[in-house]
Amino acid sequence: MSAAPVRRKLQIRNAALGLATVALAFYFGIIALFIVRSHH
Amino acid sequence: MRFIRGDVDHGRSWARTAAAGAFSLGLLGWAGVAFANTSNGYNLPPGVTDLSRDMYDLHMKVFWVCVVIAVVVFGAMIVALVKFRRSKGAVPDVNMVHSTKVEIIWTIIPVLILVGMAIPAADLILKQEDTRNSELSIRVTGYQWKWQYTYMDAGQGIDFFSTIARDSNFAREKQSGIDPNKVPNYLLEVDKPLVIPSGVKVRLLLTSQDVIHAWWVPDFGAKRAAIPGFVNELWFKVDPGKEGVYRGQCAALCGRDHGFMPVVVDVRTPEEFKKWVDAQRAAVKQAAAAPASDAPAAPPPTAQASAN
Amino acid sequence: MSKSETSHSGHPHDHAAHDHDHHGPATGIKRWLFTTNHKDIGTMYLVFSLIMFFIGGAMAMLIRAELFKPGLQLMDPVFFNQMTTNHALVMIFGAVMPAFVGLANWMIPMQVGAPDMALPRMNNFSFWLLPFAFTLLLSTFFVPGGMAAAGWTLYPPLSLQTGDAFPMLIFAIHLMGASSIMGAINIIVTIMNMRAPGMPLLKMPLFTWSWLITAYLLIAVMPVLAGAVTMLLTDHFFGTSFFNAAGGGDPVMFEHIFWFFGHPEVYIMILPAFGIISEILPTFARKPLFGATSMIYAIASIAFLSFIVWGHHMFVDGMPVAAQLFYMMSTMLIAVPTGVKVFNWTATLWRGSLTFEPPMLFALSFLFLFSIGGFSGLMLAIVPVDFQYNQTYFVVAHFHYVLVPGAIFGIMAGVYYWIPKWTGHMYNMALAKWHFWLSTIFVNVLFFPQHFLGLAGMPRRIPDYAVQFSDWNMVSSIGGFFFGASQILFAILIVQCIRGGKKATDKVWDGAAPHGLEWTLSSPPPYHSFTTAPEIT
Repeated sequence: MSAAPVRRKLQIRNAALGLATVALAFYFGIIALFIVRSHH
Repeated sequence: MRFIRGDVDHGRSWARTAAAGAFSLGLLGWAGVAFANTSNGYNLPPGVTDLSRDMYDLHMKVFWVCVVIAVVVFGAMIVALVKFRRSKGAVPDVNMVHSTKVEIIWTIIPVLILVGMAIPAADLILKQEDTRNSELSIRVTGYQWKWQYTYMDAGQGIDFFSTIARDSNFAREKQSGIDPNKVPNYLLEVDKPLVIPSGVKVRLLLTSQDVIHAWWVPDFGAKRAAIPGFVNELWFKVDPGKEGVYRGQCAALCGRDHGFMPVVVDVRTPEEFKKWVDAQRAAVKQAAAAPASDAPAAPPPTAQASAN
Repeated sequence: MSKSETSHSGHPHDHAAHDHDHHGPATGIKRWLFTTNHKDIGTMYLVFSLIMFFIGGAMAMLIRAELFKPGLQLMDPVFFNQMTTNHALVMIFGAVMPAFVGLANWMIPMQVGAPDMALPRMNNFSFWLLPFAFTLLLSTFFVPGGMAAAGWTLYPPLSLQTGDAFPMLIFAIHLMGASSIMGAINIIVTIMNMRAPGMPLLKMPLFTWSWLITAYLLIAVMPVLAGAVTMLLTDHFFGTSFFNAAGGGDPVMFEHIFWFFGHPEVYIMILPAFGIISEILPTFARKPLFGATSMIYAIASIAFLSFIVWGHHMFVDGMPVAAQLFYMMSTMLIAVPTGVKVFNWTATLWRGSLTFEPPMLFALSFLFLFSIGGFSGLMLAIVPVDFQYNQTYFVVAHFHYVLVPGAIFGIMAGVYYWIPKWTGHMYNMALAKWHFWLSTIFVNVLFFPQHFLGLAGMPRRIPDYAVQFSDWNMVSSIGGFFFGASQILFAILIVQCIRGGKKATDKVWDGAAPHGLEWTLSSPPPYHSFTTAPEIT
């Protein structure tokens, strides 16, 4: 297999993982925010 | 009946589009007249307080601005639909793809219109939020599904529940067999209304004991949520000479009987109000003197889930 | 759930696939269960969405039947609340969103010149979560306490009074959210990595553009909804007090989080429709979209603004003056890019050469009726008067105008535009025009009087009303029954079109000027859209 499709596969995987991380960060972020907020 | 068939019959589809255009503009005009007509079936009530009239005026102003924009924009669309039909031999101008000048114009003009709307709106917000110098404060507490009114200031000591009237409550049962049209003020009547004086700045302090409710009397321009753990404020001052009974409803979904917790306000002259306060006070004293004779009429709140 | 429907659509694809492909689809139920093909998955999304549209529609019919006249004739108030709540959940998460994802699945690979979506197995997973999510949601009908009845907004403390349906509802929302997030990731990755060489972002078709932006909105807000409902769950079962005032929590905070999700959500439901309309109008006006670049910037600004306007849902809940002013002005600002879009569409029609095929008719109806929803939206943004409008039928009229003749007419326009490409058959044009006229007339009979009801003082979400609201409610209900019945035509048309019909050419709309890579493929297209990347010139 040539280098270009492999690179594209990696790009696709990294983009998907990056976006999934953002989504998880929003999910846990909002809960963490309100746990911190409810302790004052 | 046949429908528009673009390329087939030119004259008829033109006529139909013109008719449709005229019909739409007519509908718009009719809607405008209907809105401008202050009868209660179509439009906001101008109401009986300073605030409600300001709200009504601003509402109408914004409405007419929207109508003017609609006439211009829909007019342009209708002209395009009538004029630039292939069935009329219209040839597309494929070079008309972009015009910085036009695009800037139709970005700036809406901004100016919006600024023109925002300025009076901001003024009115400031007026609505100014609850200072009120002469009578009443705490309003929402329950599933009734209101509690606790007077302060001149009405100190008066405290009662206000629940939907019995005849409405019977008639609203599923398949009650009672014609709602025959029930006076169906769903908008309570056993004991809130009594307030006219010409006096009344401040309501709203809260709730269970879920979120909202207290609303359209004629006062007064709506605010009653939220557990919070106290919201709102004020109104009913014009002298506008004494009478004003009605509204709970305006936030609060469970099974959300539709059945009316708000009724009985506005009296300050003298009449004073008499009412004295009578209430006397009744409270009497009840205190003879304990257990007269339990409060309001039933305990029931849980929503029990209805199923 | 979708078995019986989808088996109809199996045959034309099979034929097409054998003609064009060395490895076509599997046969029978396995094809649909294990497929990683964007077209099969797109079809399943669309069929699922149509089924949900009729389930949610049946709930709406019950609501309008109860409101036909004053007094409670058919149902008790709890059942009524269950219907309003689940009508909204089914229509939003089950009908509108999956329909757009289905259109994205079908069209984005074909529009950017890709063989398939970038993450085909995840694509399969994100679809198959949905039938389970909605089976769970709808099965709450049979549990003690009945379906959720606290409104789709799920405001605590009321939502905490829900019976056994509560944890099921929350798990269903989690599944829907996970499905949407995966769908969004797939769309972004496909657009970013799979475009044909020579297609810069600004040259992408508008539908693909609108979905790129929508997908970012989804990734930003679906997790926030998931977080909010998780906190509701722990408040209910694990003794936390996020939203419980008695425990030091804050019920208004839920509203803030919910609408931080909820406002972008309404744009999630309309931006792809903007994209569809921007594809259809130029085709049947036979001239390019006016101001295509400014259309993209307008979508992007609407998306940005959608994150800073959520407070306008909560003016009556009590808010500092500064916050009221901020939310009012940011909300009014949305009218500017939205106005740019409407003006650009009008300019696209101007000096065109118009014909009125069904997709064009629905697009034009969208243009007029969505604008009416825009006007009432502008009125609602004016805080001091919003105190009168809020929580009345005026709001109901507003959001149904943007969602029914807005989002749903956008979807129908898209289906009528592309279905000949998908199936290889033209549909019954005369019947489609009947569907259009009946829908357009009765959607107005249904929703226009609700403006009057709201202004005259009828609160929303009530099962019974004072007698002065009788007339307009009756008119609205009649409109509702006819609107609902006319949608059966839509289902008939789709089934007919899948089964057969006049052969569609590759360009489908030969008399018009459809642009885009999808029209260079055969009708129906090969199972894998572009096995070799097309040349963009």
